[in-house]
Amino acid sequence: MRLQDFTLLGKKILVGIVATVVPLLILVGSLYLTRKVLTRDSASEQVSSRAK
Amino acid sequence: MKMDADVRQKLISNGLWSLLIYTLPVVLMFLAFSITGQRPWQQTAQTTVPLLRFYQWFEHALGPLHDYGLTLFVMLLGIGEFSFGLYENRWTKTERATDIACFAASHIVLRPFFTYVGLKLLPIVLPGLKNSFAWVPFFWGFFIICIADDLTQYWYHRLHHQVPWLWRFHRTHHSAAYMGMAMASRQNVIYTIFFSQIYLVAALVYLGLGGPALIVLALKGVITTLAHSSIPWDKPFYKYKLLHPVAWVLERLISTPATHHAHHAATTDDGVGYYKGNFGNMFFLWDVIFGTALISRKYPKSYGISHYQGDQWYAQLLWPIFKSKVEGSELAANGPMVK
Repeated sequence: MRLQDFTLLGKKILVGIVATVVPLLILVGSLYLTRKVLTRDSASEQVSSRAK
Repeated sequence: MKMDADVRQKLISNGLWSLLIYTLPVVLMFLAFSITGQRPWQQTAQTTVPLLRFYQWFEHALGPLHDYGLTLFVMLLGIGEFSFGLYENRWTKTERATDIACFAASHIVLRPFFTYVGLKLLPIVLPGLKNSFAWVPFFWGFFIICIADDLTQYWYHRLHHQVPWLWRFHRTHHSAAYMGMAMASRQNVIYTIFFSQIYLVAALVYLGLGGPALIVLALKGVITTLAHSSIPWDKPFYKYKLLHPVAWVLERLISTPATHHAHHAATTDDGVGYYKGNFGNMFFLWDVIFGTALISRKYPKSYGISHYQGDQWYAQLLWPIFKSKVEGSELAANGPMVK
């Protein structure tokens, strides 16, 4: 293996990491937000119904 | 060798659309929960869906074979193809050695490696997050894994075709002059070891989506193996008029032997072969959405790479660690970056 092969491998690994991390962050972030937003909504609904 | 400006433009715009597609199942799940008032994370026990129960029963029934069910299926298919003479006389000594080395590396070495990485690395990379999303209902989990896994593989595959310096890592998959079950695992080890969708799905399994992942991966294994197989299971759908509506849906939704064989064709000149597109693995839908599809009901007359001259199995399996001794080959020490 020559230096240019290591460079090529490094670039390839980087592509693999980006293709893994980007969708993972999107999915984890959106699943986390789904739970967070809907939990807050249902909590605020309970508070407002108690106030009535 | 530089990438065309048009290809680069399409990669960027399609990539941006993909970011939206990844969020689609979660957005739809959010809307469904908002409308129905369902809050599955508040439930103490998860219910198991019948499909998953059936799969678990099936796995149990297979006993010690359950870990290697797909490997067994692929081997039986291969024996069938070989018995019917579907490889004809193109399965030369070099090709046999390449197919067997790639199959063994993928099924015997890399599978335990991925499992080890999943079990040991994920608790370090994602500490305290194990089963954080186990509340996701099976249906939505299935939808999420289908898109996460297959759209990521579509991109990984497409980039290896359209980015010139990535092509040689994927060349082994296209070098054979025949199609068959062995093609599904005929890959350079470096290409397979950095398969993005494997690590993505492993992370989602760790986060609690293991049940849906089991079903999706079993389904995907069958669809992709059959798309590479030399058994043209889709032909009856094109032959009988009654089945044409089913064929219309099938060939747009999943990879069929006709559309995937077109991707492995040696030429695009006959209007059937289309190695410049048809990148989908389980779902062909990505090609339809991103305009990389050529829907064909015919099979190419020849497969492989026109300038291929039979590189040694070790160069095909482990390039760039080992180089080909074939003069002028893309895998040779000073080989050209041809595409």
